[in-house]
Amino acid sequence: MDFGKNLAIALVMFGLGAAGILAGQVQSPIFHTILDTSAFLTSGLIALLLWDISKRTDQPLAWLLAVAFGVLAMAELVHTLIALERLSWESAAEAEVRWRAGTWGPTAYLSAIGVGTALFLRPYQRRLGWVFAPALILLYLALVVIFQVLPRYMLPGFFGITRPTLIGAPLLWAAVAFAFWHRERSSQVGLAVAGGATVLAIAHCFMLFSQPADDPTAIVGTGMVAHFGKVAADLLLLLSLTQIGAADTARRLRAEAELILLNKSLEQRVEERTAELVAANARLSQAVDQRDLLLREVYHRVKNNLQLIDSIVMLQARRLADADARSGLQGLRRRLYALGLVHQQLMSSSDLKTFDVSPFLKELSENIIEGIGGRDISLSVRAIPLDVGLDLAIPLGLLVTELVTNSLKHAFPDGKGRIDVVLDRRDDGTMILVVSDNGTGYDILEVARKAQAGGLGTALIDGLVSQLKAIINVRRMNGTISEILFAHEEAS
Amino acid sequence: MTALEKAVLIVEDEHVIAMGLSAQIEDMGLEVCATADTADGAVALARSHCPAIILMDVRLRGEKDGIDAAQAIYESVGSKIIFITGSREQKTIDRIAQDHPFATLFKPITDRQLQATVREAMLAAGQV
Repeated sequence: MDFGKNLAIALVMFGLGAAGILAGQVQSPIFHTILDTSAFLTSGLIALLLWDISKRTDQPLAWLLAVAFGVLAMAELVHTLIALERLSWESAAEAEVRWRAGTWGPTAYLSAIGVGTALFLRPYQRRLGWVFAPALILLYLALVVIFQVLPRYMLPGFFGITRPTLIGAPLLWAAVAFAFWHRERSSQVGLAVAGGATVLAIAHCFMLFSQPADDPTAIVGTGMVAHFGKVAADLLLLLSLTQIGAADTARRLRAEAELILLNKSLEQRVEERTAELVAANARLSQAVDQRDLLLREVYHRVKNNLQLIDSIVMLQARRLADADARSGLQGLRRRLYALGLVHQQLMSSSDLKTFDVSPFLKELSENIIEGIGGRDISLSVRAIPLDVGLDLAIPLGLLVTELVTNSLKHAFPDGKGRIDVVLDRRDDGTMILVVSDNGTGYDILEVARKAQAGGLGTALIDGLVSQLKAIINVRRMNGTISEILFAHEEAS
Repeated sequence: MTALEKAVLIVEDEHVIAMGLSAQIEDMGLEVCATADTADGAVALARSHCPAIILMDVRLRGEKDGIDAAQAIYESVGSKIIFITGSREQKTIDRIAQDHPFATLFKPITDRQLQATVREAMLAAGQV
């Protein structure tokens, strides 16, 4: 809303209208009625517009002003219709003075007081709002009664004023204009009212000089100028309020359009981001697949190389005449087999890092016994399920290889017996590996002295035990029992 | 299908491992008729030698692997095929299973495992 421009338009319109009326000495009752009707209609429209604005913006001031203008519209309707009435003993001119002139004053005061009071009631809308309308109606009735008692027209007095009883109206409107300008300048509705009140203050000044139509000394048209000013002020208010509504609507439409755009761009960004995430996910999963493939390949190569070495060792063993040398190479092959089996287990594990030690120990022990073979040895392997990595699986596999081989070689001179392999977790959390036989019992030191291969086996056992930071106990009790205690954190 | 010879064809792309396998077969008193290191070579040698047993490595030189060779040999020659594989991947195992293998051995293989399996295969082939 352009306050300055609107006010200028209203003042120019008012000025031109006033000049025309005064120059043409317009005093037509029909023109008078047209202006009264216009004032009633515009006030009613203003009330409805304000009501609408108050509903949409929840402004208490707009609501109170709507009430004030609503009551004012009723008063103006009364002023318009009363011209049709006349008491039986009255002449038309007498009725004009009594009723038409008699209801101008109450309406003028009512409007200024109503609009002004609305400004001061705005913080109390909810508590006092509902008494505002009846209070204004009562005020109007009281004013009507008072103005019936007061004289309508007097001889020109101070400054040529013929209607001193109306002198409060322009002053009140000027005060209202100032108050709205001072207090509510920041609100669009407040500014619109300040503009309208300014025009009304000027318009009401003209009424001070109006005289009855039949007075030959009258300056013809001052009353009509006041009426016309009132209509101009109402039009100014209507224009301003309509602009407020239109601006409001435009703002909302713009906001909606922006919101739609924003939503679209947001959706687009979500889509883009989702696509990026999907792509990143695909890249990651590809990288993981690639890593798995490479790890499997490495394990496969290691295993293949072990097999290659095993083949060479075997080919070499076949060419040796010395039995001890051949048996030494067979011992080497058993250890290579244990390493190969670890890699085979790793290759087929789901995470390629750990595997369950239980089936591994079973397969390893069975194959050692089968490899040395030809004898009636029963084997039992009892191992708790335990996920192990390369670091534990290799020493554990080699230890079992050495201990089972020792039992096979030294415990059963007649080739019959039983070997037990047990892996368990004790109550205190330490792991225990037990390899026991029910053979004749043998002295590890004696074995070490007798055979080179056995000596290597004992050295390997010592080395592996210290690598695992383990403790080994060897007991002879219905055979030989080797217990190895070691700590192991479950792989997470 | 022709009559099978009491002989073993070794299909293995690592020559040293092939040598080791040959030595073990010969130690059992059996004849190694030939060794091949590609799938196509294996099929050709199998057709010309008609061995009772084929020791078949899965990974071979070239595009085709031992499983491809085994399919062709099973259809044309009918040798008992013992797969020797380094892989325990389900995909490989499933493919092997479609090729009517006599047995599948997973590396590392002990001498005993190999000897026992070959002996069983000879029995099955009727070559005692």
